[in-house]
Amino acid sequence: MINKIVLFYVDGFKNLSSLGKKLWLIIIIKLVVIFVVLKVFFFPTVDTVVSKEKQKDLYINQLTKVTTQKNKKEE
Amino acid sequence: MIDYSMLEWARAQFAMTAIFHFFFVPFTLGMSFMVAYFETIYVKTGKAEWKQITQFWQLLFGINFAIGLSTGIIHEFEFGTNWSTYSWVVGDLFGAPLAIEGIVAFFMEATFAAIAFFGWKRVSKGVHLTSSWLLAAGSNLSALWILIANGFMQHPTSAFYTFNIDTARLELTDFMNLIMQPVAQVKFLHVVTASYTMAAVFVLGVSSLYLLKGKYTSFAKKSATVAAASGLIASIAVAVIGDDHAYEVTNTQPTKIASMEGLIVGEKSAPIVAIGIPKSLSIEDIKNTTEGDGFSIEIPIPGLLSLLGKRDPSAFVPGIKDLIYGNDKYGIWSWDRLVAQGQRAIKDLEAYHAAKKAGNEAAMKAAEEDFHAIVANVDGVKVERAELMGYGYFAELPNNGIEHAFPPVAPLFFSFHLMVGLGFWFILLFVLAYLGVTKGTFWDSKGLQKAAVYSIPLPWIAISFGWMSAEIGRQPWTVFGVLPTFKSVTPIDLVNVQATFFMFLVAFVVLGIAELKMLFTVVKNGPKGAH
Repeated sequence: MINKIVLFYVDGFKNLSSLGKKLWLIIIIKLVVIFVVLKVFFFPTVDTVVSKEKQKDLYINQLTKVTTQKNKKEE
Repeated sequence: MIDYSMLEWARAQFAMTAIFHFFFVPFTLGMSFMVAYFETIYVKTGKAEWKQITQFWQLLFGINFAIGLSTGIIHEFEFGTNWSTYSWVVGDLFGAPLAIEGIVAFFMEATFAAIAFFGWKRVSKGVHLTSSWLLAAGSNLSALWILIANGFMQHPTSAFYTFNIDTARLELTDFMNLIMQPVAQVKFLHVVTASYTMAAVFVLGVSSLYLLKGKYTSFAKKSATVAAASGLIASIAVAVIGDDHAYEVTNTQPTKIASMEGLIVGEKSAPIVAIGIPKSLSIEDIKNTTEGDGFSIEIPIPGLLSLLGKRDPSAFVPGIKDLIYGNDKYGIWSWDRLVAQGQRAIKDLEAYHAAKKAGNEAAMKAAEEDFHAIVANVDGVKVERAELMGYGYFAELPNNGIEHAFPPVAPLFFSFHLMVGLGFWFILLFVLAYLGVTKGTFWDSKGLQKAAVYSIPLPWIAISFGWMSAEIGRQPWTVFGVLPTFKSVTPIDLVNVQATFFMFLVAFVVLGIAELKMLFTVVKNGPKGAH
């Protein structure tokens, strides 16, 4: 069964038209740009650097810190 | 302090990526079903010409599917980097439908796309046809989950979530209520029927182009006949469901509908301004307005907004003034009163965590009880103070941010009314086309064929205006009442957002050009070039 599925895909890719090949090239370039260039260099995962507990404190601080106009005048 | 430049750049980036992504999505949703219709006719008749027709439209569908693939993933990155406060607060709830979309619908699409494209000579006709229908269903299921997530942002209710004061995150309490929320359901049906209309306009337009050039006429006549019939049903369905959508918006997001219709002062038998130019009014102008006066030029249809929005031509529809200054007669709270409740919820959140640090369990319990206290009952639905927390953040702005309490009128009015106008044009086009193909007059009607060709880009414009109406209309909120847009954004360096904005712009323009070039080439080569 698995062999049949693998052969189905192998056969499909072997018989791609020139337009099909172009589309797959675009898909591969796009995935490399999104998951390698953008993900690694522009959207790094920071969860591993900051613990969940620290993140929670950070957001609670952000959600409870409201500088009202009245407070500003008093400052 | 609110960093408006960061906020505006983050919003611009999200809007740009969403609009570009949405150029591909509705075409995929609509064309997947259009291809399945053609293939069904092929399997039923067994005629080779229908196979050729199916394969031609499948090729155009395939180009769009491949180019649009994974462009939506960029949004997930943006949630994490540009909208981290939003992601923290709603991630547990918003993430659930997105995860299901990724796991179920995306894999369903990927699996059946392989059979649909590679399987013409490898599987039986029945298996291939089933795969084409399942590919269409998978694509459309993706849209369902995304619009369930969006529906929650438009109208969050305690029917499916609670605000956990300890984690400061929303938690899903009732999965079925989340799925069945009326706002999401009508939004989903409106989007998919609009997508079927888009596909029908495209097929009718390209077929008309061949008829005008006198090429592939048998192919064009058969394609146009299917497009005219399916387009007529889809375009009427868009309008009928759009009416339900407007009814839901009127009753769940009154500031959105008031701004869409430029209704400054609420009234009974409220009109819809069919054609008009809204005035640019300051908050003082709105305060001093006593009736009408929202337009420089207007052609109103009396009572129509009340009829469509409340199902009663004499019903009261609140205007922007009622919604920000309150209206005791109709039980509408003023903006300042909502801000005061929101501030109290924020104080409760602060008090809870201060008490937790001090180990004072009694104070924690008191703060939590006050946070979840029922403060209003709207049409039988109890509203907790926590649901109004977002209003409290507007105390950061002068006059409690009252001038930001409603979305901008002019862009909303024009985008909504242009979308509706184009929707009526599609109905007219398909009524004429359907009558033409059934009576046989369409094949010689050069005027109607030209109209169909020139209409090809219009569904993309209409759908973009529809999204602008939905998303600009939700402002100033990311999650209505719970989290304002300015509080959702990440405090990061502006340069990061600016750099990625231009990278995405270049990437999308390149992809858009590649798609258009390939589509034009395939259309130019005609059905004989397919497969």
